[in-house]
Amino acid sequence: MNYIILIFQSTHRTLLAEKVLLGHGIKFDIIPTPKEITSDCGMAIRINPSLTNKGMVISILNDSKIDFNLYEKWMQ
Amino acid sequence: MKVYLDNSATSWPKPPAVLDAMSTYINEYGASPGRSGHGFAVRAAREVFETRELIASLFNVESSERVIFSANATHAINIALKGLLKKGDHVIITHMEHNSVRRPLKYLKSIGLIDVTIADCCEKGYVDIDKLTSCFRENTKLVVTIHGSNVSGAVMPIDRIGQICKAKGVLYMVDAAQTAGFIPIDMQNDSIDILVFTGHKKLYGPPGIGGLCIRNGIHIDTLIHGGTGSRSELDVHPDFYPDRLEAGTPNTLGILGLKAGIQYIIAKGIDSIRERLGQQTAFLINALKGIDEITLYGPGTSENRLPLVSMNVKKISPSQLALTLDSEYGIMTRAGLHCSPLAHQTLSTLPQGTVRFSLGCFTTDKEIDYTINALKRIITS
Ligand SMILES: Cc1ncc(COP(=O)(O)O)c(C=O)c1O
Repeated sequence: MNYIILIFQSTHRTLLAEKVLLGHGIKFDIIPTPKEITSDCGMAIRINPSLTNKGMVISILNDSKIDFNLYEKWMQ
Repeated sequence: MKVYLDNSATSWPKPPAVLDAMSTYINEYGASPGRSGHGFAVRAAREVFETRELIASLFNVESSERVIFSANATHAINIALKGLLKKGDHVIITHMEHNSVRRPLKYLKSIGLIDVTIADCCEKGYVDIDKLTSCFRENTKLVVTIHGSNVSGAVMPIDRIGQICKAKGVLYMVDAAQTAGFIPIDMQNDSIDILVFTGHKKLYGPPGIGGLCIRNGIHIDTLIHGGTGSRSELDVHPDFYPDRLEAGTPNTLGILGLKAGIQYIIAKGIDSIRERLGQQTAFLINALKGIDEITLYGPGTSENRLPLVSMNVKKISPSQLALTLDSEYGIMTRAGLHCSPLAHQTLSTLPQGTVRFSLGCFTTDKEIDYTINALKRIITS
């Protein structure tokens, strides 16, 4: 499946995003940052686009002023 | 009977939840936070994240990523002073400062980097606001004051000093080693730019953990460069917080103990802890006040003060009194200068210092009674 991968500047920001997204009832998981993407920090947020609306996630993070980079990646 | 009255040096005992949190980490998931993406590392990172959030809400820090962990207050003060001050800067401190502020500034002055002015305090240990205000110069970059004095127990009017600094466009740093967890601190309302705390005193965490909180927009250069788990492909240290000031594997064990300590005081109620300790301190002061041989230092019982009593007994040196209290009665106090010779200059207690009885939230009324009786017996014997 083609997943959405969100990468943040620091571990702190990743976990802040986790807290904010959980607060909005968003489903996602935390994975080790895939090597091909970048090594910004050790962990990344992975979203299954068939379960979660990408636009909604983007707008929640923007509203909370949490910067991120978004990638799409084929994963098993 | 063993009576521990040295809580201003470090609090003891600790709430049982502190050791529980630390042993759970060591036994069940002791990974390095933020260094990997596996389950244990994520759990550890979440705990560290939650601790920053807890501290940010405790002190009303704008951004929790600007809560930086260090080894203790001394380490945090050094990070701030040495990372902030540049050649030609002027710094104002008070006559009650601890050596953890005094010595790094003296060092920076001795290498020709900065100039320092010390504002006078009254004999109780309060800074004279007019004198402080008259110390400002064109090149004043920073004011550093203690919040609560480890020697006299006086509590400085940090909100007033914060206002003055803000009006003058000068940074204000508060050494809250003795007050964090005891007196409410609101960084934004009190106009504090940098707040320094230590984990092992009134936050009831273990030794080896402390930190600083930095207002948005202020930048501190790091003393230490190295691995942060972020931007690993680059050979330059990251400039974002908290990574900027936290190179190397953090003291997760201490952070988790600190988190449990803070949760303990919040559950117990910081105001109710302060009220109870205030009553016990007042009881102790009132009992000693009537004894001719005893000289008490610091503010009176009606004032906002720390739960400590600094005193001397006529014809007995502080070190002798502390030794007798310990060896004959099992009462553990601290004698001498308490790392604060400047403060003793203010109280006129140099060179011997004082004996300090400092209470913690596990101190019982019975222990206070026992201590009063022991002092009376020592004086009459
Ligand atoms: C007022 C004050 N500032 C700073 C410190 C230093 O704290 P730490 O020993 O945790 O570095 C202490 C206590 O030791 C203190 O009482």
